Amino acid sequence: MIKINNVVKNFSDIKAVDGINADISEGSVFGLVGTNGAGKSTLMRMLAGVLKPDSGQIIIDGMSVYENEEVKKQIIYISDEQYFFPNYTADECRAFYAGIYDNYDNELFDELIGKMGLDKRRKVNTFSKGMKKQLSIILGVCAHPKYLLCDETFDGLDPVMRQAVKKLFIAMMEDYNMTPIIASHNLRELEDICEHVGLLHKGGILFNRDLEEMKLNIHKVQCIFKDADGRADFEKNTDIMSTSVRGSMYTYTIRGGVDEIRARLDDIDMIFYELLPLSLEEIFISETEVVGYDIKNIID
Amino acid sequence: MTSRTSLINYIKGDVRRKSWMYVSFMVILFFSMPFNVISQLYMYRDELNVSVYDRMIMERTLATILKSAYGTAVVWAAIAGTAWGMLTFFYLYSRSRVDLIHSLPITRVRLFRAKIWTDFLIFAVISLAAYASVVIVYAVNGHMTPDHFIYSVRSYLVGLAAYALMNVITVIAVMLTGTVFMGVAAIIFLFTFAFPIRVMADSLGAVFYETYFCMPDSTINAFNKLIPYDIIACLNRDGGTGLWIYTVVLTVALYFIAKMLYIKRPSEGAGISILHRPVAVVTSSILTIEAALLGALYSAYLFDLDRWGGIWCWILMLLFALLAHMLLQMVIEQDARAFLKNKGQFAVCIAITVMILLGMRWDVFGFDRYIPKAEDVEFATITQEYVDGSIQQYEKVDSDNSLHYISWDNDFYSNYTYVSNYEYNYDNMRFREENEIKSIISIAQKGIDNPAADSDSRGFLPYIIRDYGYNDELYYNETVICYHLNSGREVVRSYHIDDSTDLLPELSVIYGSDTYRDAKYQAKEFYEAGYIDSIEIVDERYETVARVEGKSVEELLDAYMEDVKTYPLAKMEGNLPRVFMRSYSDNGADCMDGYYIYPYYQKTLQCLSECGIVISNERVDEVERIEVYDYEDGEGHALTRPADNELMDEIIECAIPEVMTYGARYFFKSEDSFYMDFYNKYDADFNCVSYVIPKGRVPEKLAAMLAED
Repeated sequence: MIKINNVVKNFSDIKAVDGINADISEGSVFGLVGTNGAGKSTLMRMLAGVLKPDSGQIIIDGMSVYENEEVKKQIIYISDEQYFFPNYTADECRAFYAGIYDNYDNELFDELIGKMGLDKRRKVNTFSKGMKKQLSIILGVCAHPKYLLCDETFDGLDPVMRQAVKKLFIAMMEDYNMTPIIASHNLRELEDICEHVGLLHKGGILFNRDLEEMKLNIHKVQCIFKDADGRADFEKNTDIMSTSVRGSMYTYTIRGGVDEIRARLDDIDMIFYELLPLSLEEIFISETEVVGYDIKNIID
Repeated sequence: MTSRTSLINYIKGDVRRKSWMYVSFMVILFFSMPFNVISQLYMYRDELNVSVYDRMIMERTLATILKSAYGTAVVWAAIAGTAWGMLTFFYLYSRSRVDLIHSLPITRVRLFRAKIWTDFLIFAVISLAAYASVVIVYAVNGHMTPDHFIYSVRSYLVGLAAYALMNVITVIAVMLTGTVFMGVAAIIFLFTFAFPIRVMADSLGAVFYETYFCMPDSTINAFNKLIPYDIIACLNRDGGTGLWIYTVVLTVALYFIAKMLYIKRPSEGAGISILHRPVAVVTSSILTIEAALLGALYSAYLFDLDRWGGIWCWILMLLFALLAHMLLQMVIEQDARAFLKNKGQFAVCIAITVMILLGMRWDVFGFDRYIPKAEDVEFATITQEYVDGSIQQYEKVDSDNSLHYISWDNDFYSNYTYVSNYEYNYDNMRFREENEIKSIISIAQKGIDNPAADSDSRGFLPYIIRDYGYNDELYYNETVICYHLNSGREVVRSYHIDDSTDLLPELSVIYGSDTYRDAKYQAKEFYEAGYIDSIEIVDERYETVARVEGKSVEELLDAYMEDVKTYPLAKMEGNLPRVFMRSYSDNGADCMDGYYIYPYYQKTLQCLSECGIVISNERVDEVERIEVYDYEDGEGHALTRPADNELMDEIIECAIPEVMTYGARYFFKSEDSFYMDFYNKYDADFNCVSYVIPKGRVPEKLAAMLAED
């Protein structure tokens, strides 16, 4: 269990993380999404014990992570800019990790590296960007960490490899109770695998929820009202996050459960309505739009 | 797997990754050491067959190779300390590396210890192997004595200390700066700033601890214990224990500072300087002032600091400051167009530099004027650079009799090590008697009251960078005085005393003292025990009248030495030698120019008597002719008998043979000074023995004769 208690991190006069509170449960995939410069990588580096919070606490399994060898043994951090020692082969990288982490699974390493088609005797600096990503994931999971922190891990992986990595994560979760925490902009990838999602914006957290629950509580409605009174009545008593109009067709993003929204729609006399689920990307856009991160503001 | 195991595995990997660094250093070291040995031996190839020198050549060669103060070993150690420190913590300049290493389950404290100590131990092993190889070579060849072994161990320890000091200094520089460039700049800064710091610290020390603050002795002593004044002296010695201790203490202190900086340095500081922005103004200002001071000081070496030379001082000061400021601005802003930024800061730097220079020029700090009280002085030394410094001195201390053998002929005395006059006097001529110390203080006061004509042009510079050379165009006496205070502190000042100043009363005390005699009269051109094979006794005709050989040679030399040292200065006047000695080595080489035996050399005469050689006590040497030479142009006047009988007798009565006080002719020298050669009735002069007459005692007739010229 990771508890993030009111964590603040400043870089000079830049507030990178501003009072974040969140709990990350074990045994699930946690997705960390956010706008550019929201503080995702900073939060990940604090979770990995690389950075020290200016204030607040990051408690992992009841202990502070910073400068704590016992806690850090449970964590592998795969940075967005992976570093490999110069002239190291993949196998030498394995040896390095195996020397540091308990119970490093050398057999699994050989198995995975073979499956992914990487040559363990080849020098890493000759690998492509995607191959380096694959290697860093393999190196990480073979340490059987309790928490695997991945910063933009899916970047640079081809679609097949992305699916393979997702399967690998799931297998590791099942077999070793690993908890992947993935920071990414690629919401479609996260949507497939994440069970919990935290949304960061400008150093603060907008929400931290179960993805399915979140999807059940945000919906898109497309409808055509018979008259303006009906529309006004609907908009007045509904938690609308965003609205768009095309001709007589109104499209709303609405907070609330499906039954609750359907009941509300049934109360209004309208020509047509359709209730649609939202993708994670649409939720992201809607939620950040509420706090002013609107594409119209950026373009205009 | 325990944390300790993880750390050990990390260290193993780290060592492997840096193996190129260790191996390259090892290769360079191993190749350089034998090369130095070979090159040093090659230099002395012609003398290797001379048995008496063999041991000493080996000793000197060993010293060159192993001596850490000036030898290659300490240079390599310092380079290794700097390079390894930079490379080991280089990862802090890269965010991705920091992310990897700082996310590992190893605490910073353990990581720091591991990195520093691993490098240190590997350096220790590598250099130990190099030292051991040289030592083994010497041992196999039979040259390794216990003393040599201890010496090499000490040198090895000094090398380790040098490595460690440079290593922690570099690590601190890496911690404080964000780029390699700034790291290198910081290290250069540490070195180049040492000189102005020393100047200013010395000046400020004079101000705060001695001149103006009326502190009780106990307080001053407490301060003196805190301030490592001796480090300056130690820096001038080779591999001294004091320097080693200071180095180790300083290294330990810096180690903890480096450790704290490492632990406190935030990971987000990767590639970012800690000091860069917040104190960029202060850092760059200090560097600019330093460059300005260096420019001014540099002018002292380039130009005569007369009126126009003085202008160059200011020009170079401005030039150096401007260059430093422009470079620093470009580096700080990382923009070539930024070289003229912060003009106000530049102006302030120039103003501060001018104030410092003028402070030195007008002796605002009272540095040049300061003279300790006689009762505070434990001992004092005095070195008259022209009197004692006209020769290159090479010294060897004989371990059997503690005699200091001095020579200025380095080609022949290749086993001697160079000592400056100051060093020699400091070690061997310490005046402790109250009248001696007061005489020295009186000389210092006269130096302050009667500066040489050109002193003003040097006045803005503190003593340590003044020119020690003698200027033939100007007549002054450069005198360096060192006071060793009861508190342990040493005060060193130099004076350019105008030559018209009468120092005779004070110098008579100095030259007549046992301290001077003990130090200087044994410092004659003697040879080591056993080297002189025979001694000829030559009479006034320049004819050999007797020969001493075998064991008696040493006895005769000992007796002669004793006579020389106990021979009072006053007796020199008006006395002439009976015979002189000429010595030869076993290969027939003429070893001495000739040492004269005077009637009161009773021990020498007694020794000769025991050898069956009786020297008549009658005055057989009649001076028939005196040639008087001018020092400047060398032109002479001949005084002959009977025409000049009266004047010649008068001269003989007051003349002093300059050989007895080697520096006498310089000591008594004045603008119209002269020296004389005496010839006897056989027209034999006494070779190198010239005579001088102390200033103020020159017979009037002679003075008038010289004045006519």
